Amino acid sequence: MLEIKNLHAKVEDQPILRGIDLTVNPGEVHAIMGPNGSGKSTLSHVLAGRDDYEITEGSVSYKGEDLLEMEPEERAAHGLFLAFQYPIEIPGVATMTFLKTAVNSQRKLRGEDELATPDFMKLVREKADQLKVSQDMLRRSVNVGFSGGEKKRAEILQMAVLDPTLCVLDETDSGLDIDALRVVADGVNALRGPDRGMVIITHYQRLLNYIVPDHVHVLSAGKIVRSGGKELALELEESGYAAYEADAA
Amino acid sequence: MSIQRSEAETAYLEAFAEAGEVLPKAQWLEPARQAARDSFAETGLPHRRDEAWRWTDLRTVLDTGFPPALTGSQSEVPAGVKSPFTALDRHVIMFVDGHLRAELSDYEGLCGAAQCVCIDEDLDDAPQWLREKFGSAFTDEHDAVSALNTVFLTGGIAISVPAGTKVDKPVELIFVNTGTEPQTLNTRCLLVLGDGAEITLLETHLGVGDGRYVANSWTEVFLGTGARAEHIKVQNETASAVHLANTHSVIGAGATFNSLCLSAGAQTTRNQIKSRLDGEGGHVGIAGAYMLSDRQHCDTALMVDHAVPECTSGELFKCVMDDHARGIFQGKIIVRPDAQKTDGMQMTQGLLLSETAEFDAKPELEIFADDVRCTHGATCGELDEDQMFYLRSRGIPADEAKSLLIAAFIGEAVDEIESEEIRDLVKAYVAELRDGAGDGS
Repeated sequence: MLEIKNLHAKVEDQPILRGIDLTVNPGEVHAIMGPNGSGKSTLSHVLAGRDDYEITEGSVSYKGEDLLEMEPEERAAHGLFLAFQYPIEIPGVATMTFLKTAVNSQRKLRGEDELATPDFMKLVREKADQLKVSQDMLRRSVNVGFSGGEKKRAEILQMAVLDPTLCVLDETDSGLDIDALRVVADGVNALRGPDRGMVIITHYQRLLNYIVPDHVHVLSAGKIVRSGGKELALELEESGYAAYEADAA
Repeated sequence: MSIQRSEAETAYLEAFAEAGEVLPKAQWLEPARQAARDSFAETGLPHRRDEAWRWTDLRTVLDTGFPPALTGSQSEVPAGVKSPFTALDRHVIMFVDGHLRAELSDYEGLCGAAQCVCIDEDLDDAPQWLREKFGSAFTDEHDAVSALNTVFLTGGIAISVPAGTKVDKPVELIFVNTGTEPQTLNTRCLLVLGDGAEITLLETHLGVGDGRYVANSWTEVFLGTGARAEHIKVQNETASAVHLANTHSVIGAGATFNSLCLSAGAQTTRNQIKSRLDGEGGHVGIAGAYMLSDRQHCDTALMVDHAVPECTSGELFKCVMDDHARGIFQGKIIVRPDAQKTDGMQMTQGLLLSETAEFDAKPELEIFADDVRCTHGATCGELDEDQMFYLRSRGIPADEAKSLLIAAFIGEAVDEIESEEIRDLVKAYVAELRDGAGDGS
């Protein structure tokens, strides 16, 4: 469903991605690991459509369409979801209003009818309970006053409600204690399915104990330098990224 | 010394004589009218040399004469002209082109609880409270806006709420201006609250079509000991109109005056807001919101006077400027030597939606007491790119994301309103205005 070919991107003349190739099929969970500054977060933002980056070469096709030609909202409506490393606070916009606007905007872009309020409320309550997101959080402004763990749970709640086909999780484990990590991982695992692909970006192997990937890739200096199965993550935990940083230098 | 008068000044001066014959009779008001005439004859329209008028050139805005609307019109109110508070159970007092229209109003219930005097009629028999309070809140200066209103006043309402009376539902004054002629419409509202009295006053100014006119409105509120008033003003004059407004309040001991002024319409708006805390333990809250686009210009000159100890004041202005619009906020807090334990807070924030929009803020503190807490701040910025991207990454189109963020920004001022019902209606109106703006672009 996602096919990245020879993707190059730069920000302010600084090349960050230098030829990424990655294919994600439905039902697969891919982990992308790598040292700080290797381009992991850039990759996630480029996929979601942040316009701070200039794509200089390569292509990204998603369900057979050119992803790079789409606006961020179109990518979302086509089923792409990015869970942010640092979820953004939006004072004055209630979480519930935000979720409803997002769901119905996507439905509208896809030419579907809007979801009736009672159906929407039922959907959100059900998912919120699973992710231990309180009613109070839903009434509060988006991410405002949320703890680190609450923000990440709220991201996964958005993901569950929006029901994407491709989930990109950017350092979702950062800043989480072990209990919060478990709740978030359970939420993600509940969304695994034969029709859904996932790209999990992480610095540490820890998260992958809970969300077990089908494929692991090592990103270094803007390129995937090694790919393997889930055992590659364990190997990295042992040996660290030193070998790959040396490669890049 | 020979004075070069502008066309508008000459027109106003010539209208003074004619007006005397037509306006409501009020012997007791004559000295005030004469003083206003003299003052205007001497100083005319304000120059930008005058610091308070630094940003607004009324001499250019009023390039031609706008004769005062001395006689009532029977203009129809088009169905499309609708108050944001239509869904609310309230008393309605309707003015069309500066004159009260009884057949379009519905405030009999109010007259049972409070004394209402229609200012369109002769005022020689006006009750004592009206004579005493009328135009008395701030008498230290005769600016042109106040002078013209005093001389040409044709319509309005004076309401006195007896001590201890809580008016059962909000009172809305609707000023509809048809702009069928380029006139100046001068209206006045006087609200006097006895000790412990309570009221919610809504003030809605609506323009029709693209009429060009000058609306000069003056609202004065006097709060007795422990009285409470909430005042919500929504201004949506036509895109060619000039809106000049005085909003004065005098707050007694332990009384609370809480207000919001939303400026969305008019080519040029000048809000002159003055408040004096006159008794210990009083509180005034003044919130404001601008929604400006095209070449709209809105200037608020605000003054809060802490005259006595132990009072609190808070001002929050949230101003949105798009296209070539220009917003100005001049806010002064005065703390008199006696006013110890004053707590004053002022915050003004501008949101610029285009590179050609402009926001000027001039906060001023004049503190003569030593045991006070006063803070002020002014910020100005653009829409937050991270917030925009976050919303869009969830499938919300750029224009809708922008509307959400603008509504949230303005919403902080609207949240200062205590009544949830009214808050929601104002927010819905803000969304409606924003959608209207979106459709046009």
